[in-house]
Amino acid sequence: METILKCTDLKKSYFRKTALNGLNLEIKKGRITGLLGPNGSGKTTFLKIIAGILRPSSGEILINGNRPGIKTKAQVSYLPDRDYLYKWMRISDAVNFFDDMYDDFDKEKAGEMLKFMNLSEDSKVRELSKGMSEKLYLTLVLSRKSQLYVLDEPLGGVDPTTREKILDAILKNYTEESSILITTHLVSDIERLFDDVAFISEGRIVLFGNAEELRSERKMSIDEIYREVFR
Amino acid sequence: MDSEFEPNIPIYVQIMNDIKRRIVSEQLKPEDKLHSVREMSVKLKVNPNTIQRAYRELERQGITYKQRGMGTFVSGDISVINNLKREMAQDVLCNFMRDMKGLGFSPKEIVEIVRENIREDI
Amino acid sequence: MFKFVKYDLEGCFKDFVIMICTIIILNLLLLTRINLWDSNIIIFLNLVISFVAEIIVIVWNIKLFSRDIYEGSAYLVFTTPKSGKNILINKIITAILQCLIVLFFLFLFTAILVEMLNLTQGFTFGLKITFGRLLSAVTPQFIAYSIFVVLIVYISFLLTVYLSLALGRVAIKNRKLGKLGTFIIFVVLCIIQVKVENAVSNVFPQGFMLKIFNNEGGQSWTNFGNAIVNTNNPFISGVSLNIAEISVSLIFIIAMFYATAYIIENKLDL
Repeated sequence: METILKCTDLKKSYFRKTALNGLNLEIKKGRITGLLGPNGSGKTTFLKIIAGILRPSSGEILINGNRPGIKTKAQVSYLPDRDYLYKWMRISDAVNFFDDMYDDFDKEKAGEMLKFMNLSEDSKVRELSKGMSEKLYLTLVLSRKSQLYVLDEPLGGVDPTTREKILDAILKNYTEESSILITTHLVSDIERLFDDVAFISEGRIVLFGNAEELRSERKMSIDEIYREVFR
Repeated sequence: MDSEFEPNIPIYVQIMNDIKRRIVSEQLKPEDKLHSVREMSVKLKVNPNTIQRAYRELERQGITYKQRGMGTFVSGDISVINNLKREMAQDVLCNFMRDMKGLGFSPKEIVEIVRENIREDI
Repeated sequence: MFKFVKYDLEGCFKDFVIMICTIIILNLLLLTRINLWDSNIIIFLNLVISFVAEIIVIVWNIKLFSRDIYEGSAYLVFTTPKSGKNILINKIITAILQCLIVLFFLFLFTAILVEMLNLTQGFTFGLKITFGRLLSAVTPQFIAYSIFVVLIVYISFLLTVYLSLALGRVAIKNRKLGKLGTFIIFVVLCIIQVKVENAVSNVFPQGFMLKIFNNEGGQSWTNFGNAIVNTNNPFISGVSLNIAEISVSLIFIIAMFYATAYIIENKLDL
């Protein structure tokens, strides 16, 4: 199986603190990987480096064999953990923007997903509730036929119904040709989606394995393993 | 099947068991088509590879078979299904016996209690 | 290739409409004052409107870039598979378009106002020139050169600001200090440019003369209303262009462009 993401001894420090301290991770094609850890463990930092908007201090990170740059940005679809659309945009503007900027964007699919999420193309982006925004961002990200989807806390701060829709959308979108990396600290809702899970603490991976195997070995749910690891 | 999975048993096993239950109780009849891997994955909110593994294992055990381009189907072989039914019943019985003995019932008392309960059902 | 221009213009569309409408309304108001107020004051106010409008456009131009460096939309822009050069050139084109559109309206109303004042009051704009006469009086080279110079100066200014913003964002982590730092960097860059240009033009004083005025039919003087100007007079017949200075300006522009593009593509940490 091809490797889509390979990360070796990745480090990132700011003047006072170290966000990533030698992170090693490999993600293969067609796998859904969970990156689990508490706030401040380095999840978002790692994802931003993959997205190419943050430079590592040292170490190597390769996406399909390339260092993060223009080429990888066309292959990686990133869901940030914050609002990032222009405030003047309507949903239709956002869709058109993605369509214009990304060759792999599927406008039809976006339209269908928006319907599924009960979002209207005329709505103004700044008038959307948190849940609706999350659904919109996810729609934009998943409507690209990318090789690597990187989702930062896709379930954060949304109600259970929205959560269901988001999980649905992620699963419907899955193909064997692409991989998905999801960070979350709300493990129980989403653990059944994962092929593999990586536990991250203080900028390093402290545990990595196949989700089913870990559950069998330890006779616990991933959620319970999480609680144990991060006690 | 409800979306609650037990943490102690691998998910693919639980999925297999559920499908087996439905075959044995005739919710799924011989030659019925199972949901596609993708449909199942979305329905249960479970990783598609996990579903795939469950299906593969069911095929290996001869309970289902795959037809290229068409999907996965319940076996048409009645004897296979009957065997399955017996196997699953055996599991239930083993657990039952163990639990009842754990409560202190003797085999004779167990038979008595079963008879009473069945009489009520009939 | 120029998609960012499309979206940036769409984004400031509302601001544009407000600005243009305000310009129109204020100027129309001035038109109504023609026979009531002193002509000089009317013209003066018109120029004030133009001045303020231009300042606002300059602020827009700067915000075009700073917004996508400092705010949430940075994520939107810098996750696209577009090079720093592409993003930067889009910003510059958008800025120039913003200027041109607003300038068009400003010139239009100034011209209308001057004509109206001319017609109703016999107002002489100092030299009783209409724009048409002025245009035909100067050489096409001078017009081309003027446009060229204005463009160079403005693009150079924009790039200096953008480079300062980029350097400030990358070098200074604290946001408040960042704004101050950006300003300091800007001042430093300006000083460097001026010093280098002066030094170079002293070392290479070669230049060439560019004729300003058209001498039709061998005329050596032209009637400019109240003044009769001897257009063969060496002092005002041409403008001396120092080749080295122009080259240095262009080199600076290219250098700042590539530097800014490189920084935003490779050094920006969001």
